[in-house]
Amino acid sequence: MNARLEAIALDFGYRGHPVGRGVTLSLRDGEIVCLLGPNGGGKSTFFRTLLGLLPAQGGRVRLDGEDLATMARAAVARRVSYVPQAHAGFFPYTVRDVVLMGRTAHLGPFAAPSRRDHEVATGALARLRLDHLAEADFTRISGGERQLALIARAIAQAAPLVVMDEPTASLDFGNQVRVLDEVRALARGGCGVLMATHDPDQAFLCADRVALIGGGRLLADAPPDEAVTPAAMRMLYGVDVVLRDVEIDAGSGRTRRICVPVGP
Amino acid sequence: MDRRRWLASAGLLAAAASMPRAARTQVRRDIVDAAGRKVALPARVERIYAAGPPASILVYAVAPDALLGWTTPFRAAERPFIPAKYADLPVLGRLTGRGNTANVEVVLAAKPDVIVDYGAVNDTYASLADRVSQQTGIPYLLLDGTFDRMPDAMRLVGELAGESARGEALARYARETVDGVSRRVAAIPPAKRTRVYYGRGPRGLDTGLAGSINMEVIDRAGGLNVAAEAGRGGLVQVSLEQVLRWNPAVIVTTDPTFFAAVRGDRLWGSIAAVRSGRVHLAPAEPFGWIDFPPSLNRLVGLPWLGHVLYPALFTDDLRAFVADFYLRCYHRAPTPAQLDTLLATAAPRPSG
Amino acid sequence: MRRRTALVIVATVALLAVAVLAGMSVGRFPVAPGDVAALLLARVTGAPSGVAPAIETIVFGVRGPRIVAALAIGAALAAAGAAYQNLFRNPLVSPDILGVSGGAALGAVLGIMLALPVVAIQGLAFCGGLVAVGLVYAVASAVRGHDPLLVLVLAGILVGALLGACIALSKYLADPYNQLPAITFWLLGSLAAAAPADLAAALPAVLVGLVPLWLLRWRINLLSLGDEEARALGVSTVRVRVAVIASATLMTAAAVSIAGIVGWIGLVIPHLARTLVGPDFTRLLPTSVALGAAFLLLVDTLARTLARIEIPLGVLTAFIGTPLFLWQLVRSRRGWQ
Repeated sequence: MNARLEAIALDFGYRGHPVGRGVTLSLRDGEIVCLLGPNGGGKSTFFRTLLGLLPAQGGRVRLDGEDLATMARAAVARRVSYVPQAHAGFFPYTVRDVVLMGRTAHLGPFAAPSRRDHEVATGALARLRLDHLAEADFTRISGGERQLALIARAIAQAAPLVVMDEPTASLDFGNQVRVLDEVRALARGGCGVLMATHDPDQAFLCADRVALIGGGRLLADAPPDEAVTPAAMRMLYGVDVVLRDVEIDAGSGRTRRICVPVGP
Repeated sequence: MDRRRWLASAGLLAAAASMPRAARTQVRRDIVDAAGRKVALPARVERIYAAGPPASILVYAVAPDALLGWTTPFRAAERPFIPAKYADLPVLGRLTGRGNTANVEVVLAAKPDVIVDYGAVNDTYASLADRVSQQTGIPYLLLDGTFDRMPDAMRLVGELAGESARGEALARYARETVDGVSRRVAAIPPAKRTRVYYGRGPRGLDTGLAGSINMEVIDRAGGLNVAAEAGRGGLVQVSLEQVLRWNPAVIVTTDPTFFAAVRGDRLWGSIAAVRSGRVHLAPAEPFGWIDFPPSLNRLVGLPWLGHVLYPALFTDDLRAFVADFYLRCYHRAPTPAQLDTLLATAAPRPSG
Repeated sequence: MRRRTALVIVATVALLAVAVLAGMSVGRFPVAPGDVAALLLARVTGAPSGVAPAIETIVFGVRGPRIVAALAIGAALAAAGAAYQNLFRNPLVSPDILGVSGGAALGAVLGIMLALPVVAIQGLAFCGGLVAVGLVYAVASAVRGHDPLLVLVLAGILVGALLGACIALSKYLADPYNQLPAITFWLLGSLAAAAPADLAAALPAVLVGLVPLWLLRWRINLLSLGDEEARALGVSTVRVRVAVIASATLMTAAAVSIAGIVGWIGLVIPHLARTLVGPDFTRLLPTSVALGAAFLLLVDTLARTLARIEIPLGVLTAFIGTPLFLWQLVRSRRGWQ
C-alpha cells in the first residue's frame, strides 16, 4: 500500500479569514490518528483543506509524494476517502445507491456502476450489518444508521486512507462502539484512518497517535499517553480532568486509560 | 359726486373682471360626443390633438392644418406619400387606452384647442376621456370609429375645424365608395362568394374570426372569411392543417415575410390560392389598407379587395381611384412609380 | 426497483406509441382512421397506399413534423429539468432558472420587430438563449462566493429580471397593430407552424444536448450531494456542472426557438418520473425523456383539436400541469422527497 497523506506547514481558512497556521501532520496506511480539539477550533476546515476541497492558504498537502493541488479529483478519491458528518440529503436515494456512490472514483468517465461495483457495495453493507436497510430511503433512516451508511460508502470506495469527521457524533452508545470497532478493523486491514473526535476516551481506545488542534495550531502530535495530559485538556477545553488506567481484562492485566472530568 | 361715480365704475370693473372664465372663451356650443358626454367646445378650433392613430388619420384627411402632430413616427417607406410639411409634424404619442405613450405635459405644451379620439366607444374610454379632460382642462371628444359612421365622423371634424366643405365632400366620397362596392357584391349569391383567408404575422397563421375588425373591409368587399366557421371573436392563431382544410381561393396578407415565403413553401403550395397565384400582399404605405389602424385608410382597401376577389366584376380603373383617394385623403397625388409599388400585388401571379 | 423501472419504461413507450398514432389520426382536416394505417403500411412496404395525396400531405407533411417537434421538445425540456433539479439540489427548479427562456424570448421579439424572416427569428431566439446563460455564468464566475450554485441561481434571477424588463420595453415600443399581436402569440407558445425546416435545426440540438447528460448520468447523481462531498468522491464537479448547464441550455434554447415559451414540463415531468422510478438519474433520465415527450405530444394534440382555433401551448401546459403538480404534492406523503 504505502500510502501517505501529509500536510506541510499548512495554513488553512478562507481568503481574508485565516483559521489555522503552520500545521504539519501526516497519515500513513495502517495507523489511526485521532484529531482532538474544541468546537470552532478549525478541525473541519483543516479536513477540507487536507482533502483539497478548500484551497490552502499557505504551505501544501502531499498525497503519496505528489502535490494534492495538481491531482485530478478522481485520482485523489482513489487514494483518500472522506466520511463527513451524516446529513439528510434532498432526494430519496436508497442506502444501496448511497453506498454505490462510493464506487464513482473507480468508474470510467462515462460509466455507470457495473455488477462488480454492486457486489462491492453489497459487501460493504454486509460488513456493517446494514443489509436489511439496503433498499431503505436514505433520508428516512435514523442519524446513526446514516452515519454507518456513509462509512459503508467509504469502505466501498476502497481507498487506503480514510478521513472521518466526528463519525460518532450522532450515534448511540452501541453504535459508537460499533463504529470504533470498524475503524480498528480498517486499520488492521491496512487502511490509514484520520479521525476527528471530541472524546479523549476514543483516542485512548483506538489511536496510534493523537493530534491536538486548538486555536488553529497544532499543539501536540504524539501517542495518546503523551499527548492527552491534564494540562493539555485544560488548555484545549478549559476542563480539569484526571487520567486513570482501568483494568479491562483481569487475565492479561491489560489496562486502558480513561479521561474523567472533575468538577470544581 | 365724482367719488360715487369712481366707486361705481370701480365696482363695475370688479364685477366684470370676476365674471366666470366661460364667458371669456365664448362657448360656441355643447356637443354630445359618441359616448354621450357633453363637451363644451371653444369658438375657434385651430389646433387639434389626435389621441390615437385612427384619429390622427381622420383629422389629417379632413383638416390637415389643424393637426398638431402624429402619434407614432413614420417609417422611411411611408414618408414619400405625404407632403413633407405634414410628415414633419412632431410625434406627440398616444393618449388612448391602447398603451399610452404621451406625456400629459407634452400634450399641454402643444396647446391644443380640443383632443379628438376616434375608435371604440365604451365606458373605459369614456372615463379615460373624462380624466384627461379634467386633468388638462382641454375638451376631449370621443368619436365612433365603426365603419358605417365614418361619414358622420368626417362631417363632425370638418365642422369642428371650420372645414365643413371638405368634411362634407369627404363624407359623400366615403359613402359613394362604400355603396359602390356594396352594390356590386350584393348581387353575388353566398355560394359564389370568393373564399378568402387573411393571414397576419410572419408565419401567416394569425387570422380574424367572424365579426372581427380585421375582417370588416374584407366582408364588405364580398369576401367569405374562411375562418368564420371557427366562431366569432377577434384575432386568433390557427394551425396550418386548418388552413389546408379551408383551402381558400384567395390569400390576403399584410406581412412581407409571410408573403415572400408562402409561394415557395411546399405545404402552403397545395392550397388553391397559392396554386393559382392569388396571394396578395396588402399595401401599407403610408397607412394599412385592410385593418390597422382602423380608420378611413381602410376605404382604399375596399375597391382593391373588390379587384382582388372579383376581377371580372370590378373592371374600372383601380389605378385612377387610388391616385384620387391619395390626393383627397392624404393630400398628395402619388407618382406613377409610387402607384406601381402600391398596386404591384393586386394581380394574381401564377407560379411557373 | 429494477423490475418496476422496466415496467414503467414499457408503459411509457406504449403510451408514446398510442400518442403518436392518435396525433397522426386526429386533427381539423378529416382523415379516416384507416388512412393512417394504410399510409404507414405503405411507407414500410413501399407499395402505393391508395390514399389521396392531399391526405398524405396532411399526415406526413403537416402532422408528422408537428408530432416529432412535440416529442423532441417535450423530451428536451423534461431532461433539462431533471438534470437541473439534481444540479441545484432543489426539486422546484425548472430549466428557465438560468434565464435561457428570457434570452430566447428577447431574441425572438427583436426578430419580430425587425420584420426578419422566420429562420432569422428562430436563430435570434436560439442565440439569445445561449447568450443569456453565458452572461449568467460569467456574472456568477466573477462573483466569488462560497456556494457556486447559489451564486448561479441569484445571477439567473437577476439576468432573468433584466431580460423580462427588456421584453416589456419592446412590447411597449412595438407597433400595437402589427408587431404586438405577433409578439404576443409567439410568447404564448405554439407548435402550429412546426415545419420540417424547424426540425432540421432543433432535432440535432436536442440530441446533442441529450448525449452528455446520458454519458454523465451516474455523476449527475453525485451532484445532489453538494459540491464538496461530490468532489471528495472523485467527481470533477466544475466540469460536470458546465456540461450539464451547456446541454440543458442547448436543448432548452432550441425548444424555445421553435415553440415559444412552454413552461411546466421541465418542472412537473421530472417529479412524476421520480415518483415512478426513484431519483437515480440513470433511470430518471430515460423516464423523464419518455414521459416529457408523451406529455407534450398529448397536450399539443389537445391544443389543436379541443377548439377550432389553436390554444396556446404555454397556456395549456400550465392549465394541465398545475393541477397535476398539486395533486402529486398532495398525494405523496413526503412532499417532494
